[in-house]
Amino acid sequence: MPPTRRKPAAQSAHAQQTLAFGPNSNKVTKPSIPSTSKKVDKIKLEEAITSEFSTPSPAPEDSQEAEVQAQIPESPRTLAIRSQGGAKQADGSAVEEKAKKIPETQIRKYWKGKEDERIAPRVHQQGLSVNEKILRHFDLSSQYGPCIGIPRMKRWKRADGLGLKPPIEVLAVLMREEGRGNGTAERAFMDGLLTSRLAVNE
Amino acid sequence: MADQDVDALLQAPSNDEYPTIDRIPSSYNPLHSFDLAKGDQKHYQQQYGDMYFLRLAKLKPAVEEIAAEAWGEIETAGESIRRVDRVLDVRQGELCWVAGTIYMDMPLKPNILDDISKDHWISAPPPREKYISPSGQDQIMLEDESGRLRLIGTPLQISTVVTGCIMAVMGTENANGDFEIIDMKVPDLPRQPQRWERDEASAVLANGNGKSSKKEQKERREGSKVAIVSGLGISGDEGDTLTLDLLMEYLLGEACGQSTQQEIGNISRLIIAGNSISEGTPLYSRDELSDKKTSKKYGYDSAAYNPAPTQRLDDFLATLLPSIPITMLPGEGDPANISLPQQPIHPAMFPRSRNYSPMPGSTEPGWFDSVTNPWEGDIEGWRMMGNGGQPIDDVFKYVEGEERLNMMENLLRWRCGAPTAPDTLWCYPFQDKDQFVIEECPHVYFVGSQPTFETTVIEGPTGQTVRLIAVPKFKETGEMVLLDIDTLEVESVIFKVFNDS
Repeated sequence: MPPTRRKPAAQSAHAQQTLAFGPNSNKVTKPSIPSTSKKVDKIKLEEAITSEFSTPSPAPEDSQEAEVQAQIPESPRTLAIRSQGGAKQADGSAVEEKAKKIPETQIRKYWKGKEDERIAPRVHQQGLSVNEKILRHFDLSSQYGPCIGIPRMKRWKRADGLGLKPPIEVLAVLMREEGRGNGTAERAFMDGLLTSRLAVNE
Repeated sequence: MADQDVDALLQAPSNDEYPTIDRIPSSYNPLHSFDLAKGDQKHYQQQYGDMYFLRLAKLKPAVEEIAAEAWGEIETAGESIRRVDRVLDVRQGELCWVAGTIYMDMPLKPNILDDISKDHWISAPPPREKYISPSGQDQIMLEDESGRLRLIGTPLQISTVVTGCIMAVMGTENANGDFEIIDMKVPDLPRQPQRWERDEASAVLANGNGKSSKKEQKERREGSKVAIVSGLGISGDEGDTLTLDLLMEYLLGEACGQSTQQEIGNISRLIIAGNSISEGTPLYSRDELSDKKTSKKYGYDSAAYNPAPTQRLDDFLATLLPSIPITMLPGEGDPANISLPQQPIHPAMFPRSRNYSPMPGSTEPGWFDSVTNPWEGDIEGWRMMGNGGQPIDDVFKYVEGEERLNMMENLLRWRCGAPTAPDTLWCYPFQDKDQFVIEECPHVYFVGSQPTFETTVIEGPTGQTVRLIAVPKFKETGEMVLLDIDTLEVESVIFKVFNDS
């Protein structure tokens, strides 16, 4: 292999048109699906998604009236819409909006409920803020998976995506800490202890 | 068929116009379920515990539904069977059921300590064919996030279990602390999509209405076949050229007579299911490498690299590609990453076949589709799923017996594409979704690099039918499998060189 060449510091003026290998390439061949139809799809898709959200009644029954081919039990339309990731993303930001609106009193009430479940008070937690206590309790809830090796926000969203119903107050606390710029609350405290990347040989 | 072709041989040249035989076009719509992120986006900092958690979270509801249906109503000796949430909640003497992941504790499994023993002895012990210990020291346990529970009982001897499959077990805890099983349930086959379901769904999005256009329906031809071959084992030596050339001529329609060529024209696609290259260069151990004085010029050791196998494979593919579209899965011996899911073989390995690959950056599959192992996709509307053989070969080491089709059936019924994956099978540490969980039941499940050609059809609880195909190694048996698209029947074509010995 020839030795690699360093790129010249200053790009010379575009005297020659460069070749483009990529989605922007000016291909001579026709694309199979015309790009204009994609925009139409998006608009129609958003309409379809909002209509899906507004009607809580089961979707297959709804669309079967519009169904042309009767032999397919689930209409390709609902499947197509469901398979589009757009619906999920809309869900994600909707949940974050909801979490932003949660008042401080609800978070206190949630934490008080958790503490009342126990007979004895928690030990060794005197120096921690209530937010940190809530987050640590969330870390140790093993039904949402291991807390090590994953940021807390990502773990919450993953648990939400799997349908495990993690408490929304935890997401509210996480977003508040993020808004405050608290970098240590991003990952579990145990994560920092167990995955030390620096060699402590001295 | 052959009798008509006999007249075609040894004839004087004629001025007859022979009709050109066309190949049936292939309707192809692959899924990219096993594509990993590239470069910086691929992280390895996470642990494998996440994968087990994801698998359990996905499959636990399914298996609990089946178990509740089966055991919810039973009353034995006046007590009904209780469901417990966590594995450790079982109580002694009480009949209950619980769902969790199976873990098999086998002392003969590959152990990191073997590496250390290699330093003290001359060489490592040879890899075992089966991990089952003859003295019955294996323990089967049920695990979830709370802990492990040792399982004993007769159902374990009847049905096969492997590390990593999710099950619901019913029984009671005995005095030793072991859970005696009376019955077990698996998630069984998931929902099977209808034929052409995905193509119609994408047509809906493109056209915006509920009908799939008449034009597309007309394009769906009948009578096509798919050829599946595996284990070509090209090593660059002269020894393997003859059967390979026979295969090439057969697929191109150059062999046999007119009527056979008509039939070959029905083959719309070739799937190469792994192990196209046999390991040509020896893998040196650490000690041997330090002894040798390798001259590393331009970043690689030219003496150790043998370009012949990939060149030969590239020539093979480039000869076939003008005529037939090819889907190629990497296998154990191929130049792709070792851990599952193996990413597509890089187009740089095929300078000539690369011309048929899609442009980098385009989302459409090209004529030559180099895909991941395992792979999932739609061919002619049917959902096909296949791999290069590594999951099945690993499951083989855990169970007694040689029934490969049984193992394939179990893999689908456990809804787990590679159950032994983080344990004894190297894989990528998935953190968001265990890609190996089978969410939609395929119509055809093929596994490459198996010892013999076997096939069967299995059925599911809600009417699913799956055709299982174990594709043998072409280098050893010379067999290629032909799958008829309309009926999903399978036949095999054998290529052999006449040997006078």
